[in-house]
Amino acid sequence: MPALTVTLVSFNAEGHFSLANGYLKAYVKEDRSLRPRVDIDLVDFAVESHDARQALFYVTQRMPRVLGLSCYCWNMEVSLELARMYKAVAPESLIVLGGPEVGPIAETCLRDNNTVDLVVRGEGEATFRELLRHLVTGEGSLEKIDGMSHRRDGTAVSTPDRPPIADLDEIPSPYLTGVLAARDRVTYVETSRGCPYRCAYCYEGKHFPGVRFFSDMRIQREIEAVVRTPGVRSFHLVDSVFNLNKERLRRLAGLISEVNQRGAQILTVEILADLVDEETTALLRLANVASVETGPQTVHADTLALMKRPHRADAFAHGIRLLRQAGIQVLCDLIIGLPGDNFFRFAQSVREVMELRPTTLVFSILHVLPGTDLYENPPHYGLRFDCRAPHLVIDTDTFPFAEIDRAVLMSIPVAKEYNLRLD
Amino acid sequence: MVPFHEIFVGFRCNLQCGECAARSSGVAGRSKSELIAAMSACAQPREGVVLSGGEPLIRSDIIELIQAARELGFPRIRLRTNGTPLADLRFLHHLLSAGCHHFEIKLFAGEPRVHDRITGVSGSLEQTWAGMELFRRAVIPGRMDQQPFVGILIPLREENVSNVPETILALVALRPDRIVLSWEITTAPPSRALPPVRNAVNLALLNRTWILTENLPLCFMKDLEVHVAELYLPPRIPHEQVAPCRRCVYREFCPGIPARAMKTRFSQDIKPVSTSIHSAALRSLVRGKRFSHEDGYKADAEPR
Repeated sequence: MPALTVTLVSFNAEGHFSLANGYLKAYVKEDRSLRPRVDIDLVDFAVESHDARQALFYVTQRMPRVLGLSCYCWNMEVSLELARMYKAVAPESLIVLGGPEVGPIAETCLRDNNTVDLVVRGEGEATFRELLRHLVTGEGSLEKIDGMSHRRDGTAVSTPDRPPIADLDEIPSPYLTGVLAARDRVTYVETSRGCPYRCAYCYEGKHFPGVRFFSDMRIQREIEAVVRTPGVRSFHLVDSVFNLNKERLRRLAGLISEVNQRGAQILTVEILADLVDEETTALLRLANVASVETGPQTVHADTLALMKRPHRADAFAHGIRLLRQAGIQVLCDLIIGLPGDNFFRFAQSVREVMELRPTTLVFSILHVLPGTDLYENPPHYGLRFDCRAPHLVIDTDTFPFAEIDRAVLMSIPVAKEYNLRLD
Repeated sequence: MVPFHEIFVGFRCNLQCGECAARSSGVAGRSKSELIAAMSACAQPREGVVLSGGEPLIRSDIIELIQAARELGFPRIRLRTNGTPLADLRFLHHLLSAGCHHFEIKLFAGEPRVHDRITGVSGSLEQTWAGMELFRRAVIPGRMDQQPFVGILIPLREENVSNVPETILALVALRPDRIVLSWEITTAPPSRALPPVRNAVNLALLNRTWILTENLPLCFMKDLEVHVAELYLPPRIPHEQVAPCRRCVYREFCPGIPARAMKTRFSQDIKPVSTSIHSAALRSLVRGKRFSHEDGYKADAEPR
């Protein structure tokens, strides 16, 4: 019997590859009964420079039975375009979407896009593997696969939510299994999933409550494999708050330092600057962390409280100072358009964060992402946004559209002027 | 918003603009050692330095001055220039290589007839424009994905203010990073000349270019307050409030009018604003201390 052909597509930032699709393939390949009966191809396109027709050209060379698309706010439109066109040339194919852009609004997505057959909700590995098993064996039914939304008699329906995988080590490493090859500057090593916080604009904490960790041993082996790859001199960590637990940071810094004999740099990891002390900076240096990304998103306590984001201004400033003194580059993020802010409050945030002298200022307009508190309860926040991806804020009760638009226009030269500096 | 220490290199210039404020300083050119000493005297931490004149690019030691600024630890070095020397690609490359990555180009109009009449040099706009076009494809050596920061400073005079909307439309095609309209008129009442300025602001926004105004108090910029440069950085020249300012809702935040315009018809146009939705946010933004000219440029204050 010929193997079930599956193509998993992701439109990413230029030069990047999809870790999520790597996990899916590694998890399916781990199943001995499925391994010989499923042939999965991973394809990455650059969202800035490849369009859906170019992707279609590649996909139609293979004509897979299953086309899976990894959906984020930045690639939703082009992903749907590819789905539409592929369905036109391969009507018998199965179009499966997954990712944070579709999971929380799966039934809406099915209702709005008749070329989409299935949506995988939440963490995708186990659900996707069950789906492929069903397709290969013909046993069971879609109704029995938790974490999935599909159509029944033309109506979008959902099976119960699937709990997240408790032991993350159950998911084989895409790097250790040869599914993904590490590359310099664009390799991401995930050390945990979930977030202890519940920021109103963020998906992570709300849909993956509690933090689950990959084991130290797994992280060590994965980093060892990454840094031993010829040409890899740097990589990133995916960890919502790398410095949340000091004891864990001590362990990870130690093991990274032990395996990272070639001195590869950790280019970015997210931290809470409020929690940084002298020992933290020493541990980050031990782990060869070159730069960290942190908030504050806005400096206004009332806006931060509304967003449920923890922030202690003095501790934050102290943390930034310590990081700078330790020679660690600091990227400070500010969001334009948060409910409660307005143009001049945003300008004040810029000025106050600039006074802390971070290495880089990063501005982004508020994306009201599916699954977040902001998306699910906009009247509570006095918020209007574009219902289509990337779900940019339109206005709020405190931040009129004309001011948001001006704040975006101002932020572009301010970021360039500030970030352009001599080493 | 990024603070720069201003260092005046002297009024010597290759153009002959009428009403040149720099010329009134009486300082034709300052020596290299004097300028390095002035830069050294700038307080730490050093964020940025801007070399202004006159025309700093006609100095034979300009590359050495940039290198000195770099050695003194300024992470950002800016030149305020009329842009005419930038039409030479090799020279531009030298400037970028030396460490000057921020430029502010002074320009009066997009029409040679208007610009060259103010500069007193025929063909000067053509040269400035050629320099600005080079910037569109210039990248910083060693940083192949980064382009220099290019701001445009348009001093507004009686001769060019009515043309400013057309100037903006010509400039946005060059995709500058920012445009600043700097009010320099002291002879005519601003109210008469304000409509083209407000029109210019809106045209820049429509063309997705950030624009600021200088030396125009908040009452003149009602509904366009976010474009008032002095809300984000101290004024580059001394300002003062006048009697009607005491009744204005913006009195805590607004620097007033340029001191040199105090005895002109400028002050007669001041009309206090009675209400504003921005008061609370502005109070927080400026913290009541952002308007001292001395705060901003005491290190080496000289006329522009």
